[in-house]
Amino acid sequence: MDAPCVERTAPAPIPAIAGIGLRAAHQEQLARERPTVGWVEVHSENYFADGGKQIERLLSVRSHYPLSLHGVGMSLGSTDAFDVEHARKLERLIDWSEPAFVSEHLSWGSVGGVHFNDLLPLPLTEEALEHMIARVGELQDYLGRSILIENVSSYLQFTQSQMPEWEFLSGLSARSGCGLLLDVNNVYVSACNHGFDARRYLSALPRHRVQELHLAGHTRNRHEDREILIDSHDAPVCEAVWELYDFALECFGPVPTLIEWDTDLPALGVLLAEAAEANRRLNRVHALAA
Amino acid sequence: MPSLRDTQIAFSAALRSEDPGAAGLLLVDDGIAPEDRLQIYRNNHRLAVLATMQATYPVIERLGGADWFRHSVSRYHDIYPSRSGDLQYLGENYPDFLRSALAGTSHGYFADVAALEWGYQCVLTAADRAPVDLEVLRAVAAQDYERLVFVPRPALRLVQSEFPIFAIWQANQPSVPEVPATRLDAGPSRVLLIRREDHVELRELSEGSSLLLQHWLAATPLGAAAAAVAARVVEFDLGLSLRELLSLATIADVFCADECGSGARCDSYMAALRPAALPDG
Repeated sequence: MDAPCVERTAPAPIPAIAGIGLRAAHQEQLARERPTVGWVEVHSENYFADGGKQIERLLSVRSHYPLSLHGVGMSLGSTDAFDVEHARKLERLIDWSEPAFVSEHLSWGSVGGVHFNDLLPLPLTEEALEHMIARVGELQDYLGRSILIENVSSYLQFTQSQMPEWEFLSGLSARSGCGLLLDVNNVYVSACNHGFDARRYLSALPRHRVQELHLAGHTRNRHEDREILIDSHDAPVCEAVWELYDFALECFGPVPTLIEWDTDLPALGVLLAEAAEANRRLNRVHALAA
Repeated sequence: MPSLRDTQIAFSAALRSEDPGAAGLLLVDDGIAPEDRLQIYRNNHRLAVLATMQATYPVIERLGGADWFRHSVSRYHDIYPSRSGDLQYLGENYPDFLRSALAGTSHGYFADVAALEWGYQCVLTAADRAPVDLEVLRAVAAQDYERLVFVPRPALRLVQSEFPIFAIWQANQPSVPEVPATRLDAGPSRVLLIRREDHVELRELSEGSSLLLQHWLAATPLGAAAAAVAARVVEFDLGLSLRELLSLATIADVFCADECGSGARCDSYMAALRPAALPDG
């Protein structure tokens, strides 16, 4: 096939300011109006096509903004064989779009060749940790670059888990060399659902390994006399998560921060306003560091 | 302690409701039953599948209605679960599923409409390849015409049906306010789908042109292709079909095969195309 051909700058680093998750509905407007925003992140799998307008638009956006590729389908925690075909498509997209960050999840999504196309939680066992270290290493070797791994929200816990998630992530990062993408909303959601201290989680992570933060909205579902939080990405960031974000900035310093919004997508301006709020908080930390 | 593999197999069986209790023993029961916690993941999965299928098959959803479509997708997914972390291919087997599920009913044509919608998705995401500069035909010697192999562009599909699927597809676009009555007796449809600069173009082809394109898609040299089409279509006009297909910029490459495979002569038709009649393409 003919390789996509779009003029672009050299791979741009992601600055320690706020970016937005770019979805198809906003792509054309962003390319046309080029609003002030630090960087953009897209779901890698949305651009796994062999060609077409979507990829052309992405490369056009990429020529004006630093880019991060965020995968949701690699299923690194799966005990099925390493998905070479998926890695090959990711490698091709990286080659086309020259992203500054490439990230995936601490999760699994398939077994026996059947995919759930979801970010399923892993039992936090020594075996699962060894497995993730091997798989992250395999993907990093395949791509010839390090990646970031993101914590997911969870709605259940496995009886056989042997360690808290922060210990799992710290071990994974130390032994595979991957960076961490810390989703502050996911920490908050899981902390509420499972009753652990979100600040303890953040305090326990290695400062220099956290290279990106995510912020998003969630919803609250009643379940008889209990409440369960769902990581729905369909609402503004709530005040409690903003407060936890301030604490994360205290822990990790100014880190590139993404506003994620995936369903019931609002106008682009709403996302940009959320990014501006994140920047206001980031600027406080920048000022303190100066 | 169960292995990671066994845990994932049990969890998968529970999610697919093949063995709802399979994961129960693996999960912490802290006030909300494990089964209720699993249901959150089941819902997430069901919604993701439905949203993907709605985006791929909007005309089928409109024809069958939202409730029927949701049920149909659920049955389809039981038989054809996702096999990739990339949802792009989730609906690949839906036309075949409908062909089997609706055989013998008055809705059998849904399968062909679905094939058209799947073709649309394939064209949207196919590799980019520019049309060939038809000037290359000027350099071909007349005796080589019948050996010419026309290579269609990747972002192109041909979908054929005994039903008027193009008219049905057009009448059921979101811009058309009400679902119109479906006329199934308007004759067959042979639809070319081809990606343009910023849209996918759909166009009805004549029987001769569609058969000729079908042969090109199978890499049949021009002589053999023309002979095969002429044997099936009495009024086939090779010159007209060549002009139509080439003017639609359907071709990515042209080369001469070693063998023609038939005695059909293409000289006069090709000569008619050169030089002044070459389409702008």
